[in-house]
Amino acid sequence: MGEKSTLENPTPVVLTGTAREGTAGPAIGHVDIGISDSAYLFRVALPGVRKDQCELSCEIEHDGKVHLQGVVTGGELAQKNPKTVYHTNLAQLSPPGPFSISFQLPGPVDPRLFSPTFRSDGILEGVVMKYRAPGVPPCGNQFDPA
Amino acid sequence: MEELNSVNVIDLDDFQPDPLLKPGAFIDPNPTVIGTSFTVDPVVMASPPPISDKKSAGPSSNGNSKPVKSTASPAAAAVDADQLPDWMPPGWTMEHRVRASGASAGSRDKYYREPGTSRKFRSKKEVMHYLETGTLLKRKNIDDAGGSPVNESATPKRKKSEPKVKVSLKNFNFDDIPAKVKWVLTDIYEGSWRPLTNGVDRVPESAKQEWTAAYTYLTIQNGGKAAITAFV
Repeated sequence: MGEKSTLENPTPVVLTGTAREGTAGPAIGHVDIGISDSAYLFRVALPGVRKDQCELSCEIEHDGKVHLQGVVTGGELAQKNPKTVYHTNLAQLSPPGPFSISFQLPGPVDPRLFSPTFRSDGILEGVVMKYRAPGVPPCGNQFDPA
Repeated sequence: MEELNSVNVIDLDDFQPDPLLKPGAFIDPNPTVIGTSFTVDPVVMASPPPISDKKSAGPSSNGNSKPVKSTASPAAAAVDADQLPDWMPPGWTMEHRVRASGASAGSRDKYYREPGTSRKFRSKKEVMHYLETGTLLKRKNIDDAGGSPVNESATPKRKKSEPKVKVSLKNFNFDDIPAKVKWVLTDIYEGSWRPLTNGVDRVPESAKQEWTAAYTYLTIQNGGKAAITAFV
């Protein structure tokens, strides 16, 4: 009876803590964007994207567009015992395969001045310097208003 | 020299280059004796410190660990007989030399000369070994024994210039911005990303370093004093 009710009600997932602060939606591609005086910071959730098999690339355009590309790796436990077939009961994670995520930063940037970090917790973090109009001297510190 | 074979045989490959000598530099093993040929230990010949025949070097203020008797001696000054160390055999001469070039410029070296052969020695230890055995002491043995004046003076006086971490920002044009740059994660362990301008063109390593330098300049607190000067 319990199993049946699970089948009929496919959202038995309860979130607590900071997990509730996020939004429901695709697990991959949640994006945070921060702004400082001289730079933009973005964080992208990439769960299931393994560092060693991700083929991750991040294209930054001058106008602030960001395009992420990569590959989601499939589950390992299912591959270890391929004879056992698991029927998908609930699927919220992204299935294996290539993906792309695009979003727009709030303003123009210098795509050369980019520092990405793909953290081991599956979050891609990047800082891109804002584009400054010609003649404007570079600002010393992105974190403090100059 | 036979006994060298038993005790002091050294593979020439084991010799490390003298830290005081620039590659390719050489020194006249016996600059004061003109036209005299004599056998010199090839090892000693291969790695004496830089010596200049200039007589102009003044008193040095280096950190020689051994006190030097004469404070205002010329570059290569023979020391008066009454100032010779008491261990020196009669007839031998000692001279001071001030290095005029190289990283250790200003350092003083003592040289001891045997009368007759004009054979040159660089330490008391070498002299004593020569007097006792009639053979030349190999440099390797001196190094192992430690405490020889030769090696004490080998300490560089100034640090080698640090490898250039900061790349000049002069060439970085803040206004010439490519339309887009594709960053590809290349090394998962180092976390390094390779930029490709316009999505396909590889960026030269030098340019990438400039980018990194520019980014670092803009992000590091205070901007880095050295980097700021690049804009002045």
